[in-house]
Amino acid sequence: MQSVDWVLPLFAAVPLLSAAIAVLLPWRAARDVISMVIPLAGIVAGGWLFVHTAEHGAIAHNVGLYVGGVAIPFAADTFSAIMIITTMIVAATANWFAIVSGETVSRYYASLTLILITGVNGALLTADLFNFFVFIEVMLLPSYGLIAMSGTWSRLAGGRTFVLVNLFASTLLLIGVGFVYGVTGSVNIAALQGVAAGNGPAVVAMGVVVIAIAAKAGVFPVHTWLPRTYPGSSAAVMGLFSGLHTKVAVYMLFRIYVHIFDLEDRWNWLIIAIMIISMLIGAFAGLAENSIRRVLGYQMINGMPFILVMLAFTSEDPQRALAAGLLYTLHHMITVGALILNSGAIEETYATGTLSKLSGLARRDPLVAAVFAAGAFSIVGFPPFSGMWGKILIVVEIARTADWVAWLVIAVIVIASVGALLAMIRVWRTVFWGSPMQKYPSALRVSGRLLAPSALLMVVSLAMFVFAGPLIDAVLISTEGLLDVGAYADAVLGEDPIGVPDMTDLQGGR
Amino acid sequence: MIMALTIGVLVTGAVYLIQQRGMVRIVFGMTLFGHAANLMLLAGGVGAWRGEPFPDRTAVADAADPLPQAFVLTAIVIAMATTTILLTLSALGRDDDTDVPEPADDNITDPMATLGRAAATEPTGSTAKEVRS
Repeated sequence: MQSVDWVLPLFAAVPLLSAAIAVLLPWRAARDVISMVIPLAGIVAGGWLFVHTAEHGAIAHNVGLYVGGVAIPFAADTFSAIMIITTMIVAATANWFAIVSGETVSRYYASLTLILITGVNGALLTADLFNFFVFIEVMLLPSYGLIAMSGTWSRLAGGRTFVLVNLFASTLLLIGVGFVYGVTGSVNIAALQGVAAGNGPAVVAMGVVVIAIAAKAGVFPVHTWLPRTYPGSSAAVMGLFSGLHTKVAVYMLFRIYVHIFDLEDRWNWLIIAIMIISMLIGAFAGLAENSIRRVLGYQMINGMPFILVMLAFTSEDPQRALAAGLLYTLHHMITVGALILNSGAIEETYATGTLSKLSGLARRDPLVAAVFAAGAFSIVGFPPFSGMWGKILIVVEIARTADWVAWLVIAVIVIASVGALLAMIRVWRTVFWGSPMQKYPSALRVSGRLLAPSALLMVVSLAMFVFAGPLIDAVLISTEGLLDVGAYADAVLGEDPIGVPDMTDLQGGR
Repeated sequence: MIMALTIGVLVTGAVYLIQQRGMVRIVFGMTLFGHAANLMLLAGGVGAWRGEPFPDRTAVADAADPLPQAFVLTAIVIAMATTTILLTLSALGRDDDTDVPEPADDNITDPMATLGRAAATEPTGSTAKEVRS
């Protein structure tokens, strides 16, 4: 078989090069085209990668063709591929919204989003913890620019918090990776297979890494930055971030827990305790917020624990449990992206997303109301949208263990879903119902161009409901690839790797 | 020992400075934290004195571990870039106070003022004016 692993670095290289080209081009139309073509090409390339890795197993490329264990590898399995497809769908739609809402009038917008895409692709494909830190920084540096770009005071204040929290979390991640290297002598995920299982020193080091990534994922108790900074940015930027930043962190938590912690069940109580609190806070704190996108910010906090709690229920059937989490991840990226872009369309037209200033939009813009209602249905878990299968799969997989902890978690999931429903009803009641607004010119309507990106995402969500069978097959194939740690290690390390840590000392008490 | 003490002092200073209100002080705090992280990375190699990690100059048995040094070099470059962004953010705005009471966008009611760029083509009849407080 002809080896195709040299393709992997291109996932990072092509967006980076096109970012450089876009910054040089003086024509806005040309920059817009590049910022759309690259994520669309990413969807196609991700689809190809999925088909290829589903057929041939994990592939890896050692940059510079150094020997395994020394080289800095790119690696891909079906799990990385399906994440690339979905992140690129969200990125393409967010960029589309940015183009129609006039965000790309700024010369650097296209380049910054392309560098962000570089970082996302790199982080999803790297098999090296230190390189993961580097790609996280590649994601963050353009984000600092994007979040502060439009330059109102609120955005600047949000930008400051965003930069500080993320810089602090990145530095913590760096410290953790340094400790991992100090105690094991490697930062290669394939070489660290199962190193944090047992009571060895690597558990503490990996613990620091996990805390840092959890802060980026917005998990309780390190979630407070997210709903305070994301709504301050523009809707296009928030849509981009919602699909990219936190979900890359989720991807890495899955990968680390499967590969390095070896799905150990002794952390289950900790995962469950944190995720239960996180669910409740995400569900109910949004009720106190005063603008559409702030409520949605808490829905992002609410979605994260549904995904991560599945890590604690892998003892019976890890493939199906992780597949439930993955399906919810994909649904959440699409749905939250749609809702954010929908509220962005309202904001671009009426200049405010504040709940108290908007009312009666259901009569004024029935299509906008329909898309919002669809998104709200999906996020709560009503049919006919992707959220229903996402939540059903999670509940079924949790119920598989059938002890009191499982029933507790299911009860909290139901309560948190009711909380999400209340938050959505509150937005619906204040923004879409009520008397017509007097202050705005009667001819002013949300234009179809602004609505189209979020409507498209809701169509994707509907398709995820209708074609749930093939989709669930796809996520099962993805988690099968994720759990096949042997094939991943073989692909990354190759024959005769050097510098692989000796597990006998590191897995004390196992 | 000296390494551990230095890291301790740096982290203490960083924690104190990050809790201040002014952005510039927080930036100093983040810089100290970055230094502490770099020293921790170096401590991941061998703490004692080692030769430079070039095989043609130093015997491999005496050479230092080059990987933590490469890590630190990468981290320093990234930290410097981020510090620049942070300092820019602290210079923007009226002062460097990080405590902003009320977001200004929420007080804007005129669709022509800031956010309604795409709405500018609609027949609104109102004139663009700054409502920024």
